[in-house]
Amino acid sequence: MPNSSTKQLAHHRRERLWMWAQLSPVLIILTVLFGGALILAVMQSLGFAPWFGVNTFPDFSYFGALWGSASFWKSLGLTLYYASVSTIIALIMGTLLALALVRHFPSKTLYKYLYKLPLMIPYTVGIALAVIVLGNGGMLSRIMAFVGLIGDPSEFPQILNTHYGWGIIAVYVWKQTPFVTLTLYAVLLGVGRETEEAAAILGANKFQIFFQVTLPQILPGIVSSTLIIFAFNIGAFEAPFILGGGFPDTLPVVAWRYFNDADYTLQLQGMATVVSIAMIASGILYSYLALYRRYERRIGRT
Amino acid sequence: MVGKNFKKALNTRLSTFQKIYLLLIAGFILGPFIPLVIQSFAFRWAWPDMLPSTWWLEQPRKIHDATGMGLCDFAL
Repeated sequence: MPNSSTKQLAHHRRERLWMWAQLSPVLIILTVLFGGALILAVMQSLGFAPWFGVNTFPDFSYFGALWGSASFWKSLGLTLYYASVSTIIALIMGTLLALALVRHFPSKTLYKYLYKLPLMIPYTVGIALAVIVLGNGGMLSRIMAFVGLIGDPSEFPQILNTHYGWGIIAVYVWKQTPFVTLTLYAVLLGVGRETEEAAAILGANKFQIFFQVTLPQILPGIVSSTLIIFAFNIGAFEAPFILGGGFPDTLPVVAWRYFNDADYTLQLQGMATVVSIAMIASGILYSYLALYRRYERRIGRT
Repeated sequence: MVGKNFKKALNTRLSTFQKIYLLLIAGFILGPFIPLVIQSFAFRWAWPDMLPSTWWLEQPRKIHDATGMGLCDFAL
């Protein structure tokens, strides 16, 4: 006759089996679609493309040619620059907005709808808005002409199509500030104000309360939102393609140029670029997450 | 002093900075739509005009005045 611990073990095993059964649909899709595509991409980048008459697998020359060129590193620098600057600006703006939204003010309901507007607008529309506002013949240049600062569209400082990427950063920030706000606002509502009140009773000023009480509490929201927007920015194609400064392009644009080339064997080089983006992005994001986990452990949060 | 700090730290109203910031954010989010809406109604909007010189809505009347033709005359 089985004792109670054996029964418990069997029950636990059944629960685990049921959990895996529930997870299996999403796991199968992820493994087959994402994992399969990833394996195929890596194999192509290593010279496996018999449908193009190329099969030199395993051949690292595509990575060698890519990483050996100076333009690759310039493109990588630009990609990381656009991604990190826009992520940092969106984070600061989104945090300030979320902190303001938890306060009480008359038009709060209106603002709660208003700040979400860019989330519903596609990136291509955001890019069109940047062209209409920031272009040489755009609204800003008209305003500058109206106040007498410039007399010709060519005198307007170039914001779009430069390697400084002001236009790209503006579109990313415009689209992603609401996303950061949405995440942090939800976290702030969940956290409540009790710990802040306790800190205030103990004599902390508003800066101490923010940096020592509020910030550690909203850090999981900050990490998850910045992780998502940075991952998007590093692999984004449309904004750098339309608003970028041309050669050297960002890595996703470089990859697209290889894929779009009349010489279709260059698609393998494009695949090496895509795999490089994936490796760099996952390396950065994994390090970021590992640092955050370490911090969590250090403060006793698991 | 502690009481003042306490009140300031736990104020549930917006600070002056936050009021200005919310206005700037509203401008940043909604601002780009203004030229887009104007552009969508503009027939001719040359630089450096702040508003279009010809709107789409007045264009049929201008064509009628110039040619004597109405919108129906353009119908297939």
